Amino acid sequence: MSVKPFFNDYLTDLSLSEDKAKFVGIEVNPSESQTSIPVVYGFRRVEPVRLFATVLPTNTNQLICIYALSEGYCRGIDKIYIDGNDIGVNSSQLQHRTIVDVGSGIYSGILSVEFIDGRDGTSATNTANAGPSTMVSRDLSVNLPYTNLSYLVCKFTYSDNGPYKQLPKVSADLFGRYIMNDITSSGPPPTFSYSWNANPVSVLLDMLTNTVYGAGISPSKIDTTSLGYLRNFFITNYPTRYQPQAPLFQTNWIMDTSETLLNNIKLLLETYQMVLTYINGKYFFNLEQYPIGTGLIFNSDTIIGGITVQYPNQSNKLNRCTVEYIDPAINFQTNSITWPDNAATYAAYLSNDADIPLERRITSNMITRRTEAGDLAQMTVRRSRDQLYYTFRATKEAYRVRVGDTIQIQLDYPAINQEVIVTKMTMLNDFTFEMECAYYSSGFYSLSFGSNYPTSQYLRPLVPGTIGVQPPPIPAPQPTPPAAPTFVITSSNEQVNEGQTFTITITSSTSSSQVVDYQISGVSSSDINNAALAGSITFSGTTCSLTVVTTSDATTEGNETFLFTARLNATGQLIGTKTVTIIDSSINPPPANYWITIASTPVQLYQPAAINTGNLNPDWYLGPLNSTKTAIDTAFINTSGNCAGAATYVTTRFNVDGGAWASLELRIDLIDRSTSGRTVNKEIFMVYKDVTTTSTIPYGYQRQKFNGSVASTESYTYDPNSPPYASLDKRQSRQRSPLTTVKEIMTSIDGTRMSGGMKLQQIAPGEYTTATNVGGASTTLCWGIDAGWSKSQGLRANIPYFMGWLVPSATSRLINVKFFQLNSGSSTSLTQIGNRTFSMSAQFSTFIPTVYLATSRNAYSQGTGLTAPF
Amino acid sequence: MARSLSAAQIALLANSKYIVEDLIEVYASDGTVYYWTTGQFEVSVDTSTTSTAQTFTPSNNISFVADIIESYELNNGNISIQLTILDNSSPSIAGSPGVISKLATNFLKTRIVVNKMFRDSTTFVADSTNLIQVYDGNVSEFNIETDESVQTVTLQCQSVFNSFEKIRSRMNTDLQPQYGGTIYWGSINVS
Repeated sequence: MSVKPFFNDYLTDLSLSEDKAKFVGIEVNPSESQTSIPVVYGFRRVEPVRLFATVLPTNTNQLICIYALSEGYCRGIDKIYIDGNDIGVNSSQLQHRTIVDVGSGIYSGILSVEFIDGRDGTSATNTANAGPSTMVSRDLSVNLPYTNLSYLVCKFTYSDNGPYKQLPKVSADLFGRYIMNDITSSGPPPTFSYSWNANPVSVLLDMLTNTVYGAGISPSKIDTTSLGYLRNFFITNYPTRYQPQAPLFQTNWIMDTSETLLNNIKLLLETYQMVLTYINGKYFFNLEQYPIGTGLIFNSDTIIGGITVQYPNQSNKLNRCTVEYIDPAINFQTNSITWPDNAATYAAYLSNDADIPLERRITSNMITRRTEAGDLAQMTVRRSRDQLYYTFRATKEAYRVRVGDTIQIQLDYPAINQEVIVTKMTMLNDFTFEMECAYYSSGFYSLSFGSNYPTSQYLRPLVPGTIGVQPPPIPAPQPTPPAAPTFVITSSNEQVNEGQTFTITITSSTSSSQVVDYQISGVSSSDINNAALAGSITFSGTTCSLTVVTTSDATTEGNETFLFTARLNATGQLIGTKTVTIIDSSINPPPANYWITIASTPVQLYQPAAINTGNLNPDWYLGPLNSTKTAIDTAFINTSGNCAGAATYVTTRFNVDGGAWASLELRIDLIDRSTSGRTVNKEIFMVYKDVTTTSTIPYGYQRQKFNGSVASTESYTYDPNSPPYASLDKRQSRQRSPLTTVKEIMTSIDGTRMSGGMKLQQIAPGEYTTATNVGGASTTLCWGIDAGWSKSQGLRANIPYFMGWLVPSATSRLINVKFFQLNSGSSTSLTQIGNRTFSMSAQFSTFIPTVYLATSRNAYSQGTGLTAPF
Repeated sequence: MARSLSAAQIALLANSKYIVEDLIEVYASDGTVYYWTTGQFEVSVDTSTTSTAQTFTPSNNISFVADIIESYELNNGNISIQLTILDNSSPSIAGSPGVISKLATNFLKTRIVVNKMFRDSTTFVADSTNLIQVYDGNVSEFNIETDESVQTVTLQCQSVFNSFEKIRSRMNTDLQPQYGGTIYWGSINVS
């Protein structure tokens, strides 16, 4: 009868015939016919392969036989049996390369044995004492050339009255290969420590990497994260119903190397519900019983077309399952266990299945514990009855998950809200995916099973005295590890502004000095003060922490999510993650060492209003040239260093006019005393009106920069293909408000007529040429509008204009800014309509104001002789 | 566990306006490397396997057929790349003369790397930074199919698990020394 392993059809079609199941090891031929050398994992009774036999040249009564036990390197032998009889030698005597002469019992004086564990002298095994058989070298003068082979040497002495009547049949209880115990370094390439153990994932790793009987895969292709995840699962889950307490799974297996490696790997995977995938050059490990929940939801946004749901059918649904296993309690012979283990449950299942017996019989040659076999039977039945299968096509977002992960399917029609495990993904050419999933429930799996299996149930009776001595119980597994610690990752701040510092802290439930490897993603190194994006921190007691300094980079990049991922260095176990939002607060910061403040006197401007931070309907703003801001950000105000003590700064906004006006702009160039007179030739602030109905960029301007009586002129002409501000100053260009309709007209202080129709002229302090005295007694440099000339050029009346001048007092450091309008009618005079004083920081002994006169396009009458730039 | 993707890559996967093109790197056994894209535009990209930015050339002659499978079953990963020459007299593909002979030589050593590149379908701007490598493997089959005017070259990459089908073990007969003949042990004839 051909039986399927416990997996349902969606997994594999691997089927092992019963004649392939070998319960006492590989059926070895004691003659010299060709036989594969087996590989022993865990603890099993083996019948070794005889490599050769010979009598001593000097004594033909003495026969030396060499038996291959397993591919090495193995831990040791517990007992040896000759023709079914325990020879009375224990594991403490059977040391590597040590000849043991049996001194008691029926083999006293006629049997010597020697065990060679197969160490090859490499660092992966044991570098010491890696020589050949001591006995063979001594008695036959031959150094056996075997490497990586665990073997047994027996010397039998014949006597007519002795027990030997034929070539003795040898068997041994063998502790199998040393395999991966832990990941010592994630590499690449990773490195491992080794021990004798029965961890299924360590067995799998051995099969993948061994170069003699395995796939010979380079360790650098092993994903140590998923490997460590499975390893930890297998060594930390000790169900209380397992008595004596032991891991959920153990692999005690004599691997038949005459079978293909593929079939052997499939058998191992299916027995322990492991999943092996090869993705993009690496081998990944998953455990069906303990999947990784991705939390990803697949709904009508990510599912293309419909979805197919397949219910369990008669061909794969079961109401009873029997598992055959290797039972050490009966000399490693076959035993079996059936589930349901009570008649009521089976009757209920049978009734639900129309009284059709749906049964399966599974043969396992690597399970040696009754409870584990019972679990396998129960898992098989439970899943077969309730596991639904889903097939659908998904968008490219599906690439986020891997086979073995769980996802959530949420659909309104058909109504599905179900956690499923991804069993197959087919990546199509358009980067969409054909997804195959199976309903996932922890109730299917042994970790959730609550009942124990009575050891007497279904147990075959022993027949005393007919099958030799009772073998010892399986040696205890690795010491029960302490309960796995739990971890919590916190941050001192959930979000920070650029430039601020926060601290990530990992708190463990147990005290240790473990090393934690962390990775930082979502930001670049430059975002965190050029710190490394990966590194290690070490627990001191129950906590370890990492302090992160964010960079105030003055780059407009949007908010960023800092993602901290931590894993235990020793095991690769994922501790957890933590995110912190870094607010992009350092957009367009001012140069570090200057600023401007507003005097305390409220401004009176046109229809004046005091500086008011609480105005809900502002028409005018005082702020930086930034399209995204409506006020000067307080973060721009430097209150430290050279500027400490300047406590009063620009507030926010003030009303000027509710009419359809454009922008006024004041720019001030400063010399920063703290940096040796460096000219900080940047914009500072502007006064502008938020006009959203049009969007006209400047046509051009001239700028007069002066220092005392020395003036220089910069001019720019608008080029539609190259906006002037872009050529002037990239930062200015970016900060230019697109909301303003600005028509700037710059004047030359020396009276040069500007093309836009306005003229300024220098005037004496305290006077003005045609009308209002706009200067003050202390003013040394003062300019006024030649109102008559300007008006003749088309400048409109009753429109506010603006001008400013320097009050170069070392103590006051004031800039006086006044607002005017041309009087209507034939008048060529000006009327002052507002006054505003800006005070420079005391940190600056001098400053060079550049006076900009700005008005709007609406201030000019079209077609009145105005030339460029109109 | 979910794949290790950056926040930017996840955002691109979730945004429907980004379409995907294949960037194919073919490393011939003689050291020649071919860079092809299935997209419509030439693009210069530095992938994780190229040391510097390389120009990936579009060609209508190249079709990339890949159903890359990840599965519980150990038989996934087969892909094929088809290079079609429309004119038999001009054995040049994507501006790469002699490509057939180069790829045919020691083709088992030919390595193929496939990256997915995102392109904004509204602006046609390619994102050459956030690539996703979906395949890295060696060629296992090389076939040429010819008719009157067309040559089709197919590079087939098999699953790594195919090599697991082979039996790898040591036999007792592999281990020396071997003793033949009949052994007489005491009065027992050991054969």
